[in-house]
Amino acid sequence: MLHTQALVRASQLDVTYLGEVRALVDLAFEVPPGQFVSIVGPSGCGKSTLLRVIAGLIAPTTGTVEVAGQTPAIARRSATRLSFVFQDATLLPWRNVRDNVGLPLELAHFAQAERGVRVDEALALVGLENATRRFPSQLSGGMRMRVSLARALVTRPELLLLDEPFGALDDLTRHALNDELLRLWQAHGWTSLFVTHNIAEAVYLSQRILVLSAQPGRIVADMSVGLPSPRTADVRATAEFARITGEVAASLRRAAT
Amino acid sequence: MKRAIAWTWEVAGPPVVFLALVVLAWQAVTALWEIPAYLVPSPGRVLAAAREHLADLARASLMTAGGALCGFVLSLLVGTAAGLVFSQSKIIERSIYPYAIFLQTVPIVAIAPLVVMWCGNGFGGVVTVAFILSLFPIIANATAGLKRVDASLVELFEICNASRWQTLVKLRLPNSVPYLVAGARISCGLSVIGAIVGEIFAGYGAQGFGLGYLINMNTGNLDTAYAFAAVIAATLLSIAIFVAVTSLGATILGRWHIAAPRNDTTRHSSTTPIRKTAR
Repeated sequence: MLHTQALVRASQLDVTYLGEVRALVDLAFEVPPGQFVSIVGPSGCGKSTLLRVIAGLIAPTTGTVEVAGQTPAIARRSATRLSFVFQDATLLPWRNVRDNVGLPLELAHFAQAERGVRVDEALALVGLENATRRFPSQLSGGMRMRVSLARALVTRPELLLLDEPFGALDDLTRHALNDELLRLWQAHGWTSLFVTHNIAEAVYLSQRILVLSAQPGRIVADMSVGLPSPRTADVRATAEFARITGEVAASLRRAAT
Repeated sequence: MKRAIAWTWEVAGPPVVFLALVVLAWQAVTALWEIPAYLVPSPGRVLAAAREHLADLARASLMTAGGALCGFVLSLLVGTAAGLVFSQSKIIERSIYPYAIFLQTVPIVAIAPLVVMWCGNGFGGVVTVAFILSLFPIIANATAGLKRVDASLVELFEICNASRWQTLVKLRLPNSVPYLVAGARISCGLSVIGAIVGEIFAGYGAQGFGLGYLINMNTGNLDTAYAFAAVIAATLLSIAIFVAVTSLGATILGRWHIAAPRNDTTRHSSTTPIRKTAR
């Protein structure tokens, strides 16, 4: 049955803040394991709220969200490994790179030896092997984001939630990190929900794009991205890439009105 | 080296010159108008009094420093504990925090005699007054530091299924360190004032005497030059404690990799070169 296969499932999901501000209205979608889904929409449409509901940080007002068949908070406390990458790097300034990356394992009471192996592995994934003793204040914005990414990957997540992680970076750094993220996803195949307001970024990374309307957020389009996989940076120059980008932009324009 | 000298002159020069001018003017005024020494002693007389009573002044300064530091350390412990309680329970914070502000507004000179009556003459009374006066900045800063944590970091800990204890020990407490350092800088100066006020009312009896006692007694005896010397000793003591706490705080903040809030310029000069080598 398709229901049991979906890793994330939302049905009739409504979120209302303070009893009056409607953030999300009647959302329904399923995400099968291993899919890379981007969520785009005008600012303030509730994209971040949606991720926080799936992370179990916010409870739905009505309707349900399930992760691996359970409520998100229960899922992440039991078997499902869930990681979240924030808009800012969100590092502890008093810890060096290594200890920041190891934090999730430390909180989960991993043994020191196992922690060391996993931290090394995660640091290698994002190319930070040589910066392990540095502190966040000594790193550039792009490197801080890499640390944040390594911290999310250190738990070997099944579900990776990313909330506009590269929004504050310059274009070059953003492209480099997009390539990195794509490469890592293609190698590890975790399930990704990626919130962004950058259409090209969404098209480049995703297999599927959900377009949300302006507040209150509803799903106005659910498009699959038919670009070849594995992708390389060249795909940005193809006609198909331009066509899909244009299509997403058009549905975003419709969503904003 | 040359730059260091130029810098020292630029920073220390103007206030030193100004001080010298004030001392000269003070000497001139007392000499020209023939002001009686019991009203305003000349700088020379103050210096003479300081020399004559150097041993007593030093002993009194140590005594006052002891009382002030005990009050200050007590404030650090009690204030941090109060902050911990406030940060963990909203209802307790809402009920009690407004009354903590009493500590800030209570006229210490008015309640010092009461404190002495309750806590007795001697060291205990002095420490209690120093403690009461220096407590509030620690409570306020500890509470703020434990509560004002980046919302995303709190969410991160929640997503990592951190327990309340882990969030306190690994996030809130470290986050409060810069706040505590800022609070300690304010609080340590207040503790000296508190100790001196305490000594004026309490004294140490047979245990010895502090600067507050010297100021009070010599003003009463019209030995104003000696009283002036004691006031100057009290000021120097305050400055010494402030400098010690500030530099200790700077060391801690350096370990924390957070620049002290006021030293924005040093922060820039220390981080830019590291970034350059990174690229």
